[in-house]
Amino acid sequence: MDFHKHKLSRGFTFVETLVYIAVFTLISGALIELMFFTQSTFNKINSSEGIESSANIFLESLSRDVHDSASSTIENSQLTLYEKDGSGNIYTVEYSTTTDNMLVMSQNGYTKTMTDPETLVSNLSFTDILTPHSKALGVEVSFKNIKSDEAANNTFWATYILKGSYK
Amino acid sequence: MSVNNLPISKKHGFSLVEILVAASIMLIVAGAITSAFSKYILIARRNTNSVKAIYLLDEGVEIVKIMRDMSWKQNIEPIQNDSPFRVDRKTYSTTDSAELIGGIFDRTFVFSEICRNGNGDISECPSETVATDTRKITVNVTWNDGNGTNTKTLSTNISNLFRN
Repeated sequence: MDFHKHKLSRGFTFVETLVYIAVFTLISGALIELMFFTQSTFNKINSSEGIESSANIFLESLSRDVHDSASSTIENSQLTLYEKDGSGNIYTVEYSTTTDNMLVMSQNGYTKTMTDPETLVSNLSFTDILTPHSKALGVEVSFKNIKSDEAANNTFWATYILKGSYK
Repeated sequence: MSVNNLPISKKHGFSLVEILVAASIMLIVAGAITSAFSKYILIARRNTNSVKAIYLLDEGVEIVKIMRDMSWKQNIEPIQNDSPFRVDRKTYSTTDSAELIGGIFDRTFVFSEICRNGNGDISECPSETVATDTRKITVNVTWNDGNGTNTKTLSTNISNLFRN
């Protein structure tokens, strides 16, 4: 048939096939690279979001409790704050880390986890600051993502004055 | 056969040039997505530093209050208006050391004058008398995230509450 003799019906030459394979490999390589990059970006953003929200929840809650309290004690990085309720009765609020590195706040037997489920506390330390008229509390807290081993520098610093301690 | 009646262009597959054009379009699109993602990463990373900076600003104000509670005469009065200073985070006194907090944050403080009108209320400065017992404190936190310098600022007024 005339059809078989036509130049275009020969199929691909060896060189053409090689070029197609090379182009295909380049494109799929780039796409796989992009996929890995997207995945690692997602992980990084996810971990920093968990760390930011844990820091915000912890420090906002701590600032309110420290501002409301009259005295405090620190024992092995466990903080106890003494606050007064509406009728003048003293109650305590405690901030500490659990054995599995979560940050918890307990009050009247009720315990609340302050860290995001994927975020751990890698360091928590409190310092007393005494002045002739007041007492203040310094806090340094570091967080890390549950999955990452990298020693990312995610330390937050804050200092709050115990308003009930003013004299 | 009917296929022989078709124009030649309908019978053959993609040419090499067509493949290359398609490939370059795909790569350009992939490149655009990648660069958009890298911006996203950059913003996400910058955001953690902004959160840290906000707590450092807050802490700066508490530090000035602690210095006031210790002694207004010794800690606050000697500092000149409009000249920036840094505070040592252990001794709560001014320091010449420009050591960065956590290796990246530079926190500076600056006092400026506050005026009071005839009723003792705080008012616009040039026209009224300068208050001696109250000063304006501005805290600045500056850091470089590798893509430029960022600054956050917070200011408040502080009074010699304890006459100390």
